[in-house]
Amino acid sequence: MSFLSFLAGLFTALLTGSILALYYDLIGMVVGVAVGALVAGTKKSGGAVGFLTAPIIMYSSLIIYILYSYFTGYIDITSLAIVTITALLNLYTIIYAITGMIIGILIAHINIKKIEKRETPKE
Amino acid sequence: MFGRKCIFFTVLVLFAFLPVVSVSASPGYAFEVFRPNGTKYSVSSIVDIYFENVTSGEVYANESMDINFNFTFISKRIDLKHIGWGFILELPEEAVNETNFPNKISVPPLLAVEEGSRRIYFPQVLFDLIEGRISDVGEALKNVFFSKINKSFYILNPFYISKDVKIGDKVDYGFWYVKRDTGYIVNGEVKEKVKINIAGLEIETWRVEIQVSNLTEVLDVVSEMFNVTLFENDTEAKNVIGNITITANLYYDTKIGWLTKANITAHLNPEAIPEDVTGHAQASITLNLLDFGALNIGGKGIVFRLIGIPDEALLISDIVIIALIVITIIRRRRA
Repeated sequence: MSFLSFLAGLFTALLTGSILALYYDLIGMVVGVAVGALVAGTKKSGGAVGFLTAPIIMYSSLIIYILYSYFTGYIDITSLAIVTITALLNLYTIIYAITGMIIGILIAHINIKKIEKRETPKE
Repeated sequence: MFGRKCIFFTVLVLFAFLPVVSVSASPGYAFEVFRPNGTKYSVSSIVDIYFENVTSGEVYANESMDINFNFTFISKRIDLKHIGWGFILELPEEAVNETNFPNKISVPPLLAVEEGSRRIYFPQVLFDLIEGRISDVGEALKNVFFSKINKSFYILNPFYISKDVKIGDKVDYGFWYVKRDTGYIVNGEVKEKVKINIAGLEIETWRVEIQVSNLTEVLDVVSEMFNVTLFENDTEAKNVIGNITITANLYYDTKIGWLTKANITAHLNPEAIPEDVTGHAQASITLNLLDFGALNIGGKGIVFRLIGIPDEALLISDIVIIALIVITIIRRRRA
């Protein structure tokens, strides 16, 4: 497990979670973080993936729309900054990040336990 | 062993999707109406007031005003039960030149829309400002992002209705102050199914008609709610307000119940005008949906409109990617 698997975890969490979040944000966050943590491999990486991606996945429908509006020229950089900062500057952002971290650690822990169980020779 | 894991994974995915299924299939509201990101409206309003004395010809009032602007919704989750709504206000060139306002004003998602209902709540900081607990706007702005939702007052969201209404059903509009158990609720009625054309799409809509003829009742309720006196000694103003009739026709998409068009007109009843005066006072507001944004109106979702593939295809490919990742990890673990 390396820094590369952590990056792969980040990418898969954002990709799989954000698409689901377009339909229902909470499911997108849980599934995205779980898949990302599985890919990341270690508890530390899983927790970090969950911590970083959970708020982004939760707000992905807004972030995707705001970025789309910015790149198509509908809004300027000031509006982009105001909306993004005000969206993230919220007590719940921290709650989502911590929830994501717990899910990430938990999934990675289960994954490691399963691997250890397989690697332990049967007596 | 591998088969059992696949079954376990499938059950897990199905459980994860249960809330989506229950939200979308439950009688009530389509789940996407709570997240109208990118849904854009044009608003045009005309106010026309003219009064003159019949005998002397003296003109008492001659006002004519056109106000036009566009606004686009932005939304994000606030907590487990509420979605924050904000908007980007787009002012016309003339207004920008006259007022020196920026062309686009972003209002962050601070209005709290309760999921599964039509209630809109406001942040506590707004009440602190109204009731004088905070006097400084700068201080209010500092508190606004960490402000709690005040659940003592709500307004009923006019932008969506239940998706399973039928002709003759009543739809409530208005506001309610829970703390004092008072408010003003007016009943609209679903009149007919109408096909309207929006952004090149023919959409089937429900027409909801609302009639309001006694606005003094609203004034009394607002006075009682906030302990303020409005036009207490001005009987003439109260008489004028009491004689205003408002008629609104709101058109909601039949599939998800989202507002696609609205025509609201208000006029002063001729009986309220003194005998020696002639003239009229009327106003109208028209709301037109310009961009559907994230909403699935007319059976086409945002993914279809952006990249031309059905929304379901993206969801299925996401589920396939998730399944492939999980299966690969499980197989690697076995190897």
